[in-house]
Amino acid sequence: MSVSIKNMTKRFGSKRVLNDISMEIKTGEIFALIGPNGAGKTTTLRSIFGEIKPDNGEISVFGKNLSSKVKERMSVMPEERLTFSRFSGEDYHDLWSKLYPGWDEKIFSSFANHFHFSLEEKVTTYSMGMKTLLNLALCMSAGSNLMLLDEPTQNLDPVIRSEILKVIKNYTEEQEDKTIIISSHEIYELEEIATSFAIIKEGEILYADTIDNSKEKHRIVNSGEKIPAGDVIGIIDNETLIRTMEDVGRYPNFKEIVLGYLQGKKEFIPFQKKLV
Amino acid sequence: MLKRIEAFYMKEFSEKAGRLFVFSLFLFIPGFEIKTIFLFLLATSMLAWDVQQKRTVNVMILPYTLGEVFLISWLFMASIVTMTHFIGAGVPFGLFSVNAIWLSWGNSMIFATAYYSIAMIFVTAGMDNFGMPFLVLIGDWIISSIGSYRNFYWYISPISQGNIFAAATFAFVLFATALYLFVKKGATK
Repeated sequence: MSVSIKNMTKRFGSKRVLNDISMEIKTGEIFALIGPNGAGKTTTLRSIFGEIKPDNGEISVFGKNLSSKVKERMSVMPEERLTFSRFSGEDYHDLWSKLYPGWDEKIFSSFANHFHFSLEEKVTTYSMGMKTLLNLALCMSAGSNLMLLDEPTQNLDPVIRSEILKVIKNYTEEQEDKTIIISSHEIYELEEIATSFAIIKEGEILYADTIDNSKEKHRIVNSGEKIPAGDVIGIIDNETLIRTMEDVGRYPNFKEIVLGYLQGKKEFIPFQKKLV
Repeated sequence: MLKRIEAFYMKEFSEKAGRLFVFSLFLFIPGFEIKTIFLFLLATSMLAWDVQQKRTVNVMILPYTLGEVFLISWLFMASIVTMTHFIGAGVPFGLFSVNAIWLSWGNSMIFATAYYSIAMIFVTAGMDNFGMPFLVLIGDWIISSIGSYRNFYWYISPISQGNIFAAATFAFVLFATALYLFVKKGATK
């Protein structure tokens, strides 16, 4: 087990941001944390890498409490990318290579050459996309067993985005004992690379499973079709997502499962044809 | 550990270069009383400033725990205070006795540690790193200047330090409290 979270609760002032969250992330998984803005995804990641402490609950990483030794096996790309205002790319390289015992210079050089990093320039002059790529290169080169990525494809153009998704997938497939946790809104991308996921909304986990199991456990039925025994999860365009093992309707895709849980039974239809 | 300290110093020297340069110029003054306000500015612009500005994330993603960040940031401040003090004292050597130089260094360290801790207690509680500690500084100055040895606070005050051991103990209590709160709550901003 790479990460285990039990009954985690976090408040900022009077606002409850995480409400009794529990999840387990197995070694070798690419785990996606999916939810709208303000759902608690970033707070969950910040708690895992120890920037904030939960009010209640327990977090263990590699079966241990967080320590600097444990963190040497963990690399993080936060929502705010590389914000040291006077650091150049080279400074970041020096800092990270000093701090991570498993640092792999070859991997960093291949990223730097491929994406043409201007390492001598201050990172504040980089575009957001370039900052994302540099942060990702640092994470990939750190030799970590656990990588936490907050919106890793944000601000990347479509070609680089697809390249990066392949690299992320390759990271766990080609190497042993590597785990990635990704927080993102990009449902299509996540379906491509993730092996398991949790849907989080208003600080609560609505559903967590592997992608394959989640498809098996749900069905989509059209309006007018017989509703099978099970839980009605949500309505997506005239169709209903139901959690059931009965063989009715059709299997949902990943996007429908996520939308079904996030949208629930409410539909937003601001424009409708007027009847004459 | 040494690598983590070195990396943190590298980050601090790079990120806070301007401020450190200005403060250091004034911290070269060997007398404690004259440089009090610059020690205050230095102490409140260490980790408390980073938390206030939500800049801890880029340190906390690295292999540091909250406790290490707190201690290394204090160590960095202590290094600046110590280096500037002894270099400053060395320039007009002969004007000050060796005992006076060490005593003045002790006073500076106690004061800087106390206000580093006070600023951290405020930011951990969600308040700012400068305004509230500044009010405490004014309160400290007023209360400690009433009645001298007849006033218990005069002995432990970070400004007056009526008894250096009592003041050091008080500063240590503040330091331990700030460390405990920061490790327990994390960067709450």
